Amino acid sequence: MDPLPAPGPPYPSDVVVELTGVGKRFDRKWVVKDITGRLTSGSVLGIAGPNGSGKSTLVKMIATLLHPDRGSISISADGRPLDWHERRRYIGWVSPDTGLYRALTGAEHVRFFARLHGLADNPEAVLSALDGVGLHARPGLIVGAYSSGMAQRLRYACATLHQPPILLLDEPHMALDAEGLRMVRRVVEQQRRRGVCIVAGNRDDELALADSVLRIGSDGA
Amino acid sequence: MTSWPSLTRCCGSVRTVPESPADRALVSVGWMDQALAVYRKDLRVELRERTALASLVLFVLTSLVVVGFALTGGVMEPGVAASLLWVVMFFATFAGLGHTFVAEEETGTAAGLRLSACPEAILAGKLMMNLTLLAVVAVVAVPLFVAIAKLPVPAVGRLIAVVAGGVCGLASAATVIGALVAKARARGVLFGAIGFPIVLPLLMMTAVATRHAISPLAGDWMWLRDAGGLFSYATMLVAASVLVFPIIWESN
Repeated sequence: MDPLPAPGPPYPSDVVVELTGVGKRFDRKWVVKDITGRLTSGSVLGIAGPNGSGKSTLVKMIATLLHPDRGSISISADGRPLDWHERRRYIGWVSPDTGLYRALTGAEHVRFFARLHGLADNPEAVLSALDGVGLHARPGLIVGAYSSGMAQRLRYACATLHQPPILLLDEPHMALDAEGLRMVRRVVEQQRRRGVCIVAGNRDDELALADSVLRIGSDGA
Repeated sequence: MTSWPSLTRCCGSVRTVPESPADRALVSVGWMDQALAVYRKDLRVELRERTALASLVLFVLTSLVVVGFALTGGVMEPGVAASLLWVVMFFATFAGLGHTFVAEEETGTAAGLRLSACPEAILAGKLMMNLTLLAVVAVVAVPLFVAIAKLPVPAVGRLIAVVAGGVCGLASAATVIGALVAKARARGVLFGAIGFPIVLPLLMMTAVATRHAISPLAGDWMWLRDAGGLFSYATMLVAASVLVFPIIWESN
């Protein structure tokens, strides 16, 4: 792919995520019940709750990976509502559920997701993306040989490549060392300038990244 | 950090693009770029791990060796030979190709794909990969089978056209069935249940077409009609997949 000039800032300055009575059930059990809230650009929301309370399910619904069974989630950019498919251009998602290709290297992952997002195949940008998460030293190492912390860093690189206005972090500190935690803080601060960030987790240091915290009970409400 | 220059828009953004011919062209390029990216990724993974290729080639070689032993000293009737060839190709296909989507679901990479690429591009990338693998298998298996079964091939071009049609049909069927069953729990049962009505007409067509291609008694233009039928069936399968796949891919 030949790089073309950037067409200008690709994303809007104002993004709003609005949840209205959102609920999700698996079989007959409601995992998430009646969640309502509004999140605007520049804010970081924490989602806390015991195991099985539906934090990850709620994040997946915002990420468009699950459909709510009740209520609605609306996302608008500069006042314009986005449909289901448009939202995906605006979303970056880091989660323990995000799989990686064991046979590919870190650089190949970054290049693959860059191509999917319509970004130019630029070797410098690939190395820069890996550098941003502390993986620049071994770009040619296959992911099968990665530690869990390195894999988590690579998830950050792939999720933030396209500079999404909405960044969803599920258990953001999982498997990361002290330098990794500093990297997460940097990512969240960058995201605060770019748009909205949602952090789901239970650890105090994860929730400390957020301006406000939504606490979900064990019944999902 | 170096920022990424934007090259194209992905197909998920169709509705955000003003309706001008130039912009529609951009969207179209983005769709193909995504399909090629998925194809290149799958090809690279396969070249390193050789999971599908190994099972495909091993299955075909084992089957052909058994056929060779069974045929020692004998000659196979063209109709039986044609059926046997496609039975081998069919089982090889479903042993090796059915797992393209399953692997994405099982390793958790499907969610990343869902967020980053449009369903049609993913389907096209997977189809291209399955076509490539099956073409490699056909290049190995068909000449070997012809040699082992001592089949007369009056016109090589005809056989190539028919095999190409059969490969397209089988790859399309394996892709769509793989996509349909990827999220299911009882995949083995579903594979058979869904695969049977889709693949049976195709297998019958390929067996008849191959018999016509290798039989000196068949009419001059029969192979062309047969090959056309096979390509049409493959096209129909792809068209149906394009309609159905986004719904299956996004269901939860």
